[in-house]
Amino acid sequence: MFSSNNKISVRQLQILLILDIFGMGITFLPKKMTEFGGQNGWICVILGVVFACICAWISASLAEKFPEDDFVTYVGKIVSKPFAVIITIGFILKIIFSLSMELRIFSEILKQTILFNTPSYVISICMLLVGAYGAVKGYETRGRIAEILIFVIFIPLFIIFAFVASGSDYTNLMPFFEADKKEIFLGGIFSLFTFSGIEFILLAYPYLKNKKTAKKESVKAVVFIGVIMVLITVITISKLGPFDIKNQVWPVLELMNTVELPGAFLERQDAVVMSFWIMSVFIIINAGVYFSSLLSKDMIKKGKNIWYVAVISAVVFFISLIPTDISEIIKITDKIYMSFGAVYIFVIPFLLLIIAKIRKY
Amino acid sequence: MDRNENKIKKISYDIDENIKYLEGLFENCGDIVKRKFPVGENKDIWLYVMYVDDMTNREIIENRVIETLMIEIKKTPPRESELKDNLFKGLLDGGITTADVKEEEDLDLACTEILSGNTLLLVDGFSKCLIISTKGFPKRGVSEAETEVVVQGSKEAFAESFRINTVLIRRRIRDTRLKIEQIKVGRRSKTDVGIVYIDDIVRPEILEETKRRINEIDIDAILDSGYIEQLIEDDYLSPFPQIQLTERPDKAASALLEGRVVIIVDNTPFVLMIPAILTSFYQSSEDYYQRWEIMSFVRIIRYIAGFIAVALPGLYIATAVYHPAMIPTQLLFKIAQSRGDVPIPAVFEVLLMEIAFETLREAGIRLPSAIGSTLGIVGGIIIGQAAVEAGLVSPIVVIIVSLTGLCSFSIPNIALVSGFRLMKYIIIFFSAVLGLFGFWIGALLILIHLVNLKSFGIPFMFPFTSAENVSDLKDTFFRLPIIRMKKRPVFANPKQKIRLRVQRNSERRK
Repeated sequence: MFSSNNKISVRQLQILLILDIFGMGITFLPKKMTEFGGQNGWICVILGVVFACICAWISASLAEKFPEDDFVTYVGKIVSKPFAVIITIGFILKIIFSLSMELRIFSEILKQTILFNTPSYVISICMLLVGAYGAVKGYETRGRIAEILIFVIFIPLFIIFAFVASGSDYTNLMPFFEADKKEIFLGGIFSLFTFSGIEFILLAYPYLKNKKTAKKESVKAVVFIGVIMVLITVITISKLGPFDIKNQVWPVLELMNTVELPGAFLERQDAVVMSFWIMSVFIIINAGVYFSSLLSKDMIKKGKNIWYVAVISAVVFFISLIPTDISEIIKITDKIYMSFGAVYIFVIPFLLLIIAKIRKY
Repeated sequence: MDRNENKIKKISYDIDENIKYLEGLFENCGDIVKRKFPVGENKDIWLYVMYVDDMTNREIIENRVIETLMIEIKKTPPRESELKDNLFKGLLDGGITTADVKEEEDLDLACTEILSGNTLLLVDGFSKCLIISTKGFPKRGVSEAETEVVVQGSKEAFAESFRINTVLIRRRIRDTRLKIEQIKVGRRSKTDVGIVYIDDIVRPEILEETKRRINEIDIDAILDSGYIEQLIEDDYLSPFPQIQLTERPDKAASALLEGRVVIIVDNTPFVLMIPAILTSFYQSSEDYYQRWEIMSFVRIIRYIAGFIAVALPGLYIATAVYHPAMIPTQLLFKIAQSRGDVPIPAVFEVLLMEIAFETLREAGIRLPSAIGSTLGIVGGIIIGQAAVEAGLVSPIVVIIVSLTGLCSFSIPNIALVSGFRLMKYIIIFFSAVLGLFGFWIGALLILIHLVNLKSFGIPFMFPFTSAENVSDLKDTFFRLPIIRMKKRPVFANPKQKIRLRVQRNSERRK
């Protein structure tokens, strides 16, 4: 029942999906969406959630066809070995690049808000080491830690947003349905990329205990996190107004910091807000390091997990040092999301699924 | 040099050869009593007894064995002449008047029996001997539990004697399915180790794993159950206990009924309970004897205390040094005021007080209780007061450190507290370096370690992780009413889950 086989339950997969998707995207999603759709930006997010569910369904359908194979093996079966290696290398690069940027954004935000005198690379290195330590321990450990962290992250988040929601000015959301349809659609596509994390479904199947319900349950998890993202966007827009949001770099974090919690003991809760955000970023870093080392190991098929984790952590760390300031990081992140992100969240699973269907797997 | 364990020394037909072998082995062993004596009408049958002085019940040896053989046997039939070749069986059936007698053919095993307090009886002309159970050594009786004191509930505690301990458990569970498998562990000490379980409730895989790990132990001596604990636990590098110790028989019995395996080790008043998970360390046997509302409340207090015991000094350092803006202004002024003339940085101030507290605790354990309380007053109150007045430490740090210590005492298990005590310093270190971020880094490291830990296949953080349904949480933060705890916890064999049946139609249950 509990033998140490590195397997996770479907419930753990759901929680991991929720936490992997949540985290980075949420900090700038409302800002991006107001750029696309103004006060109607939240409609983009709803559209994004629908797209995300479709993507999750496609990825799960593909992985479901090869329940016992790892990614490299089954892609090799579909489109021959050399293509599989190319796709895998691209996948690893995508994970490593977005991971590096996320790590850098995280350390920059932390430096600006609570650790003014600490160099950002020290923050990066600490976070990366903890993430790597978790990654070395394997999938089962990730699943278990997520089961605990989901409460640590979402309960304070829920409480804070409940207070924000009660004090918001919902007239900020009006007028409804004013935005350009094309802009809304583009916004929807962009918000899909903040659901980066869905592609990990492609890798999860060999580690699942109960593969039958996994597809349905992972779509459910995407819907759950999607609803949360829509709610957060709605609340942020209504609280700050579409124009204020554009002027702020991290509107969601700002929002959580400024809200007055009635009867709270603390003078300012920014450090506390950061606390559960640290948890949620930890899970993402951990996921990135784990999956990229997993893919590399599946591809090379040699050596111990710990060496892959060590090499990838080092690479991620050095890439994260490259950008000079936050605006550059955001530009790079956008590019990664629009190119690599699009390819691995939708294009590749979709194409592979079609080819697999044609070749009758 | 160790004797070769595999070579069996068979008992010879010639009694003198056996005596020579035994006396060779027991040369210079002053505590051995031996005697060769003739019995029978013509005094022509030679017997030989051997036992360890004072480890045996002399009354049995003298009244039931020697007296019977030398005197009584002459008075009653059958006569020696009638027995002839059946002499050995005659002795077994009529010669020795105690129930616990067995035959043995291997002389080395017979030696182990002698050293365990039994008496050896060799008969001339037979290639086997009799082992008469005469164990009766000086021992401490059942006394009151000292480390797991309860207000309501049994006061009995396990003792050092193996048999007393098995009796204490057997008295609570009068079921033939309660099994006590005895083996000897330790090449030289040959310590009795009892693997106790209830046959149909225990998970077979856990039982097998326990037996396998105990059988793998190859050590010269087992002096305490702590040896066994450390030799069979899953991760010896972890500061957290993965096997639970208890000195309370009622707790051991309840563990057995939960499907856990209990290991009794001779000479140790603490038994081991396998497997153990985090929540089991927070449970005290009293929790189940009193009303559930108050006990649930106490449970929550214990969990909060556990968190404070690990986290409070680190949190103080993180907020006071890195994030003073978090603290409400008035409190901040108070802290600043009290810290005003303290010459050392806050981190070292906390460390200094923590170390002082640990020293005080260590000193207190070693001292007799009468001096111990004086030490508490001198060490804690006087020195603490003086240090604050001299401006060496700030009062707030004294409060923080004593609160941490207080909280660590409210967890019912010492082994878990020891783990927490060490983790506290990791948190302090990271908080001192990176503030609240460091605090969470430390917390995450500990959390990763904890979720990764397993005890005999059960995840240590169960049911907070890997639980399959909500009912697994019924005995964690809350202790639900007994009437709601119908199923055994995760340790039990899935086929034997039901432990309580409630009459559905009963009036008062409505």
